[in-house]
Amino acid sequence: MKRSALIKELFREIWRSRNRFLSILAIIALGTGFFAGVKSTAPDMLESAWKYYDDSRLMDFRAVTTLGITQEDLDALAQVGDVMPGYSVTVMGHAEGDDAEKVVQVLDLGDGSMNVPELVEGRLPQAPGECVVENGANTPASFQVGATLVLSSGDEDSPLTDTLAHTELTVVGVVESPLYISMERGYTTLGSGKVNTFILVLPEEFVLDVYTDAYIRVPEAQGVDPFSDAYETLVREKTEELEAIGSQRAPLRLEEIREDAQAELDDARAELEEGRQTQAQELADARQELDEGWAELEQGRLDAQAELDDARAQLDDGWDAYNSGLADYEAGRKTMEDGIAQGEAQLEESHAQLTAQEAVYAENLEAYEAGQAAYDEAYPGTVAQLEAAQAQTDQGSAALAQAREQWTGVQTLAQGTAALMEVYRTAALPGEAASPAVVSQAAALDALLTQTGAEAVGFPELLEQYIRLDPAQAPQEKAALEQALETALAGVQAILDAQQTQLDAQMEALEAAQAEIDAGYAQLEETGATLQESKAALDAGREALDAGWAQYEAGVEALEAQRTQGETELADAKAVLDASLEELNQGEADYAQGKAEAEAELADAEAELEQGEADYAQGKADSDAELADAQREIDEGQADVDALEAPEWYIFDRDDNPGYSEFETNAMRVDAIAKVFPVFFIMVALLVSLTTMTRMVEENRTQIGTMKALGYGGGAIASKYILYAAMASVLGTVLGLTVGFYLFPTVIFNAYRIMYRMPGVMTPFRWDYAIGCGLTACLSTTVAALMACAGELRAVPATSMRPRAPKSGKRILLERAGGLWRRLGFMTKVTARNLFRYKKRLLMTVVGICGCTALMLTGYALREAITSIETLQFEEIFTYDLLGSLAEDADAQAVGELLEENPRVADSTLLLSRSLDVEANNQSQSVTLFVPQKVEEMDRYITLRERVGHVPLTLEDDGVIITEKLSRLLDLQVGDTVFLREELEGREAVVLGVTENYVNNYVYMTPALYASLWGEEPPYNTFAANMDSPDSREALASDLLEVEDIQGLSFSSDIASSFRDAMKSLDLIVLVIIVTAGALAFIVLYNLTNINVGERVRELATVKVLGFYDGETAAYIYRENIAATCMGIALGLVGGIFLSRFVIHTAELDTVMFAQTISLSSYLAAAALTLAFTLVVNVALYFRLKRLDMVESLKGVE
Amino acid sequence: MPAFIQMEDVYKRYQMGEVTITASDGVNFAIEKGEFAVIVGSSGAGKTTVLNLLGGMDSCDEGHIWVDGQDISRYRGKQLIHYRRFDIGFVFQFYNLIPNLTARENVEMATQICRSPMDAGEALEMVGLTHRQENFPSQLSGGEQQRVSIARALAKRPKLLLCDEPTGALDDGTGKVILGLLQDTCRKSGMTVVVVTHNQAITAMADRVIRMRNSRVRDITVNPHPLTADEIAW
Repeated sequence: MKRSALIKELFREIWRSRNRFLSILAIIALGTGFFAGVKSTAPDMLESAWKYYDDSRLMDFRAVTTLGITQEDLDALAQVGDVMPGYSVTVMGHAEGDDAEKVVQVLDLGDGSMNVPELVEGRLPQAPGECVVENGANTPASFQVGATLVLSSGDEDSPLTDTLAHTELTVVGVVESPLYISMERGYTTLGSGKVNTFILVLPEEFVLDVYTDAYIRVPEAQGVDPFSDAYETLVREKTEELEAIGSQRAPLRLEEIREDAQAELDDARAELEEGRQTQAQELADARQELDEGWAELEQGRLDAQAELDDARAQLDDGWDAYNSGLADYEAGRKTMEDGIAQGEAQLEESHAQLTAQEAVYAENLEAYEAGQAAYDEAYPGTVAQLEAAQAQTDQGSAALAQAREQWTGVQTLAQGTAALMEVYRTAALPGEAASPAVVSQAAALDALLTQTGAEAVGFPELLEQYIRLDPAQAPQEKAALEQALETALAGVQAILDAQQTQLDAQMEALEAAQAEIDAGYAQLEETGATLQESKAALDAGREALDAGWAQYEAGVEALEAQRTQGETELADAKAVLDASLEELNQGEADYAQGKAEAEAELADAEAELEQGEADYAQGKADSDAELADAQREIDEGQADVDALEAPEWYIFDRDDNPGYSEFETNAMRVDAIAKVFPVFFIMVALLVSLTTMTRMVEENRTQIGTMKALGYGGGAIASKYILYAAMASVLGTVLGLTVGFYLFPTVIFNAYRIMYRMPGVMTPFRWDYAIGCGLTACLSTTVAALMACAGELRAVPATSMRPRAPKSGKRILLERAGGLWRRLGFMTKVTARNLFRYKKRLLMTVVGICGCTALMLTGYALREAITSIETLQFEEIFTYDLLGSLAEDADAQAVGELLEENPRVADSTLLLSRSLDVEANNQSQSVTLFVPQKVEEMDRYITLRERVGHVPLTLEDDGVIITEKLSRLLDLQVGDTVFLREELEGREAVVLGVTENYVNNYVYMTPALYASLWGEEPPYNTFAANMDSPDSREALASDLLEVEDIQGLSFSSDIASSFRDAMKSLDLIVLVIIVTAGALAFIVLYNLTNINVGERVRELATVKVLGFYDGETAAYIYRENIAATCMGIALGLVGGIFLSRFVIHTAELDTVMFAQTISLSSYLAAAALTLAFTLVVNVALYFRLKRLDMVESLKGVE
Repeated sequence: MPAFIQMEDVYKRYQMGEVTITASDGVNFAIEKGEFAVIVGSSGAGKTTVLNLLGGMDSCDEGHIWVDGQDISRYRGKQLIHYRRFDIGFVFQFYNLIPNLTARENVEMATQICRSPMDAGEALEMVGLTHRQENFPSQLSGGEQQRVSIARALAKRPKLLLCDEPTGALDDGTGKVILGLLQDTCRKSGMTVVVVTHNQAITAMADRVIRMRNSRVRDITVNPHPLTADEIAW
């Protein structure tokens, strides 16, 4: 209970100073995480590999003999461990549709007890004729699931069908095999000398009598770390055991083979004898057959002649019958033709008559039609004329009638008037009586007078007067009136008479016109009748003519019928004749053909017999030769059997698997890096946390004194700081380890997986590292805390409660150099003194920054080393533009000439390129041997020079030039002797020079040296060439690939780019280093700056009170930071050179030598990045200073 | 026209969690140019707050603070720094010398940032420390350190010299020397000097005494016959 206050206080303290707590936590996390993570990468890689080998039951040994492995051999090997027989053969192969030939290793799948492949895609083969290909870049793109692979042995003398049941295999899946973990596939004598890829088939696919391999797993190796010494020792022991079995089995096997061979030879001998007898028998049979054939031929000839004669006689009879029939036919034909001619003449005559009559008729018809037409044309006009005349006449008549009527009216009126006057001559009409009608009507008389131009007299008035006037009363007057009236009437009467005469004349004229019209009509009618008559006459003529024509037609028809009938009869007769003629001709043809056939048949038979004779002779000769050959073969076989040697046994272990041992080397390389970097990290981390804890205890000095004064024991007081440190470091360790154990192995292993086919890495939590790391971290921080407390705890409470005297100022060494010191600015002096005042902190900062810069520089240098290889190797060392590989049996000289003639090739040389192993100082490396045909032109294709100073090297006949990396790997100097091993043979050569080279390892030698070592001229299989211009690449490629002897081309630009891709894996590691180094720099700087500010709060507050601007206040601290950073960077750049040199050497792969120059830009980048981190920290600092409370300056020292 | 220094209804409150502490509760006083003024009060009376406000280290919440005709209560940020830089000289209780600089350099530090500073040597001569100018603070006694501190303040030729318990960390004798130095400076150069202290004895030296209690000014006394430093006793 009594501790609860302390614990509460502890947590409050953590919360209050969480930045400090977190920075300790972070730096510990970073340090332990990086340390443990990188450190566990190598074991993780190896353990992952171990598990993979275990899971896939990778064999421990592989036994191979020169004569194959039998069941007895397997039984013998079983003494040592589990045995699985296997087959393998190296063949040339390509996918259908892709002509690029690859060297393919064909292996059997096995029985699943060892080397279990992992299926990646598709399925495993289930029947012969199917195969699976390997996963990854080694498999050509065309080897895909579903493709058909066409395989050949690459050697015409031994067809592949001797080995494999199918030479065309269908790809059904993709696998990974534990036998091949790297990109290496081993060497062969086929093709380029390097196996390109492997495929797996069912064991049944192989038709060999013996196995080619035996895989062995020893029970003692189960559970043993394959990378341990124990395993190595075991392997050595077991190899001896296996070799013993081999040497025991070899003579037995020889005996076995010899017996088998002898038996086979004896069989062959028996077979030969049998063959001889068979030959004699067969020849005799053939002779007899031939003789029979000749006899048959003679008989055939006689039979054929007799048959031909019969046929001739029959044909001649036929000809006679035909000729008489033909004469009869001709006579009949004549008779009929005469009759017809006569009939035709008669008909022709009647036709002429009819035609004449027809002409007359036509003439009449024409006359009639003309008349009719004239009539028709005139008729309407005439009728219209007549009708018009009639209308006029009628009109005239009507007008006349009217005039007459009018005249009659007036006449009557005149008479009436006269009568009236008569009545009233004596009488008078009384006044009251009405006037008779005549009076009023008498006006018409006036009108008549007026009409004729006379003057009206006023008849009505006069008459009225007249009748009213009483004669009695006025006789004179009456008389005068009467007189006047009478005169007037007389005038009227005269007019009327004249009118009457006129009317009568008109009447007469009208009657005359009417008569004329009537006459016109009569004439028209007459003309119509005349035309009618002539029409009737014409129609009668027509009828007569038509009858004549009909009669004629009937005559023609009758004649035609007669002719048709005659002709039909004749045609029938002709058809009969023709048929018989054809029959006769056919008979003649048949006869001729039969004759020819018979003759040909006879000739064939004869020829066949002749051929039979020839065959007989040839067969005899051949079989004699065959028998002789067989005899010779048997004799040779006997010689071979007599010369048989015991088989050679080879025992291989896992290290002989391609890429197997390199994996361990690579893991060890990571381990080497792990030795430097992480230790450095954890050291910095510990130093930082130590400083931080010390500072914390110092800050709490007063509190410690107070607690002591209160009576707390030293342990209780110290426990707070120890717990604080322990908690931060434990949490930091847990965080760091959790992330680090996973992150670093995964990232690094994934980078390596570009080169190795393996399942993902296992990242177990490694308790040993975890505990070691955690304990170191926790112990260091807690011990640091304890040590810091111890000093304070020793002091008496009174002392510790008093503020500690500030660190006193001191003159620094620099001031002794008076001249220089005086020239420095005031602030510079302040900074300089401050820097040296806090030496520990300065040291920490400088070390931290130095480490960061060095790490970054190393990162950049590593990156540069990797990236500049490409330029150096493919532009400066390998100056050729392309390499071409020749077909297996190509005529190299012809290709050489062809290249020289090609205008796009600037220059070219033939090369021998062969993969082999170089051994020296008990180590072995696989290299490529290059033998250039034109040694003197070598520098056009490959630059041979020493790296340092670029001293050119020349190939001489008395030794080889090796590449620099090879010399380093095998520890070779100029003048040393190397052992060039190819499969089972080896040759020695002296090293004459070491040439600069970055990618892969090469051995160069002259053709003369090759000839003396191998005893033959170099079998050139490659050529190097330069193009006339970079643009001719495509054209040149298509030119060259058309050449049958050229199998493939690789342009150095392509290789350069694929190399660039492969190197990206290392880029990632470099990135990890740069990022982590950056984080380190940041945490160190931030932490130390924080402490710096914390310790000098009072000083800074005073400076602020004095009126320094925020910038000036910050600069007060910045100057120190920047100075320390610059020192750190300078030291770091120097240290980085050494660090990078070390790291580059350790990180190199066997086949790669990294470039070793660091460019200015790398230095600049490392420095700039570090400065950038410093700036970030300084910016954070600026805001902290800005917030700094000036009231601090008024407080007493705590 | 306000006095050389005039505080008008100045309020300053601090928010401490849920509690509001009023550190200046309507402070009013005026100090004339060239006066030697003493602000006196017990611990917590609010005199340090007044000093902070006058020194431009803090700004008030309400009211006006006039210094030589300028209302500094309206100053913010850079204006406040300018004010501190050019108008104020500050003497701390614990001297606050930069330990890593010699006496002369400590003075130079202030003169570096002024417009027309006194020569550092001259300032040190004024406080009688010419012979120790190359010594580091740790090599000087408390009184000497305080004299360096005063020299540092004077070298800036400030309008106003603010002293926060200048004798608080010193023994009596040394304290009197320092007070004498301050009084002389005031008399000789006509500089306005404000001393903040809890020591009642010092009031006898002052031209004007401002007594504070509970964050308020209790009373202001003008002393017609101030004593010299040698004459006072505590």
